[in-house]
Amino acid sequence: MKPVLEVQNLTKIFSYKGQPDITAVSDISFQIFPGEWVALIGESGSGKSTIAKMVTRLLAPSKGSIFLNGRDITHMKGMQLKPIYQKMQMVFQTPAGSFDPRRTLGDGIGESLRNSGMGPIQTQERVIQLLTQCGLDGSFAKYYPHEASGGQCQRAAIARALAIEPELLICDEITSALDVTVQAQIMELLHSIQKQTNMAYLFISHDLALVQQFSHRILVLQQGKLIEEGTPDEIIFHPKEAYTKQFIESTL
Amino acid sequence: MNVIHRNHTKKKLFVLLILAFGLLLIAIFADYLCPYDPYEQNLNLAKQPPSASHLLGTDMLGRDLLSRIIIGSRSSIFSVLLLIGIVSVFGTCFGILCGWQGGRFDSIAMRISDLFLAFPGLVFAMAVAGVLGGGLHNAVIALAAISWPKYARLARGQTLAQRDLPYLAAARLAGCNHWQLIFRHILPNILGPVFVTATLDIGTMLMELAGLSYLDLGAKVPMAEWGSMMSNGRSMLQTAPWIILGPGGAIFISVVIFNLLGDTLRDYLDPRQRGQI
Ligand SMILES: Nc1ncnc2c1ncn2[C@@H]1O[C@H](COP(=O)(O)OP(=O)(O)OP(=O)(O)O)[C@@H](O)[C@H]1O
Ligand SMILES: [Mg+2]
Repeated sequence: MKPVLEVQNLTKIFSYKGQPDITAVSDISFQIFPGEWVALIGESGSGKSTIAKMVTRLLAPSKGSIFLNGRDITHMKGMQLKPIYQKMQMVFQTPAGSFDPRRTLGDGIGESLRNSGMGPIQTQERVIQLLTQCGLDGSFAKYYPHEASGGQCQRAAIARALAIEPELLICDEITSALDVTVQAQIMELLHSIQKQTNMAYLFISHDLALVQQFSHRILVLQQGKLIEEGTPDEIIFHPKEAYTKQFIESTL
Repeated sequence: MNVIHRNHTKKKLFVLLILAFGLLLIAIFADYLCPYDPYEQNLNLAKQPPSASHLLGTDMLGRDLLSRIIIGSRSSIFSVLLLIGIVSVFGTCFGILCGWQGGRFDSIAMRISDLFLAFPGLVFAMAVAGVLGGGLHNAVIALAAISWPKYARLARGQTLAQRDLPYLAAARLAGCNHWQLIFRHILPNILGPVFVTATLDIGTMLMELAGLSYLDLGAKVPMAEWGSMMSNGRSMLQTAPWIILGPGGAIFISVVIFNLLGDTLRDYLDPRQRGQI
């Protein structure tokens, strides 16, 4: 089987004039296969979001390459990325903040569809279908981001990511702004979507307890380096690295 | 802020909008509203104080002041609206491009706008109008030269604040190109502050345009324009004060209306009040 996403020696160094360089991500390689749920965990500042931004090409890598379905996307720019974003989508950490405050949720969900040429009536129908799939009433299409709760916004954000049926979904701490019961609902939703669509997930979190139930594989990140990789059982019950042990003790 | 306060703001905004619209209507229909021909001279009637037939009196050439103020609203208000329209659109586009593009283009462009901001506004406008040689058109050009950088700076700052927000990243992932990002998402989100600034600027520019005319750098005689009307009457402040008070009052009233409108609009668009409509 071919990986959906392959990342080789990915590195990000932030350098500003008159300041020491910051190596946020250093020499990271991993693969994600279709239908796989891969969790990327690490403490705050370990470089998780930086990896997500590089993979989605919102940020240019300093070194290394990114392959999506075997295609090198490391140096793609502007509109070259449009077809790439039909294969790869992302859900962000801030529920309401990832929607334009002046546009409705429905408008945001349908944006990728309209941009790829779907007519307004069909888009509207599809938006309602997507909302229902994500456990929201179709009327939420008319809501503005500030009118919906965090959990509702996050469901809408998942609906938006699903709209063009991507093969890879990147979730950057999508539940950290939500309370525990809503977290569990969102995880269940992602789980059922994966069963239906065989989509691959790169699920970023700092919460090991949250990811152990659903993920197939866990990557542990420490200060920009990938230090350990394994199934949830391997990581939790037989961690190889001292840091991983420490991390488990602090979060479980 | 509470709902009562918001309703109050809404009512105030409504009243001020009507007043501003009223001024506009006067300017549009000035020709039909004048009781006398504003340019007809009659030296027998010179310097008449306000009376039943000439409500605001007459000037030193016997022209009806009320008619001249009404027809003068056209040159004053229309030139200012045109000025603000051009300057705010140009400045905003320029600022958005700078903020969006960043890098060297941004640095150079901002240094240029600094150059314009480095001079005291009206003095610079006087210099420009002086070089261009007076006249209403040139006064407008001079004021445009000093006022566009304000909009460029505002729009640039707002664009920088929006540029890295997650909703724009989401829009990129939805396949939007640069123009779609700018026109669909950034522009609507920064338009509020630009609009408020423009409204507040109407009052300022009305005064500065009148100021230039007062200094003989704006409207030329016999054109009816509030600033030049005041200028012409200035030697008669002791003997016939109505000649200067009439147009002065017109400037005062218009400036107050547009400034209050700008302030109220700012209150109304304040994001802290959003969601309580
Ligand atoms: N634009 C930037 N400029 C400079 N340094 C940055 C930038 N973005 C991130 N960093 C640095 O890179 C490191 C990793 O940041 P990143 O946001 O990827 O961490 P994270 O694992 O997502 O943390 P969190 O769990 O708090 O979201 C941090 O030390 C951060 O200060
Ligand atoms: Mg992060």
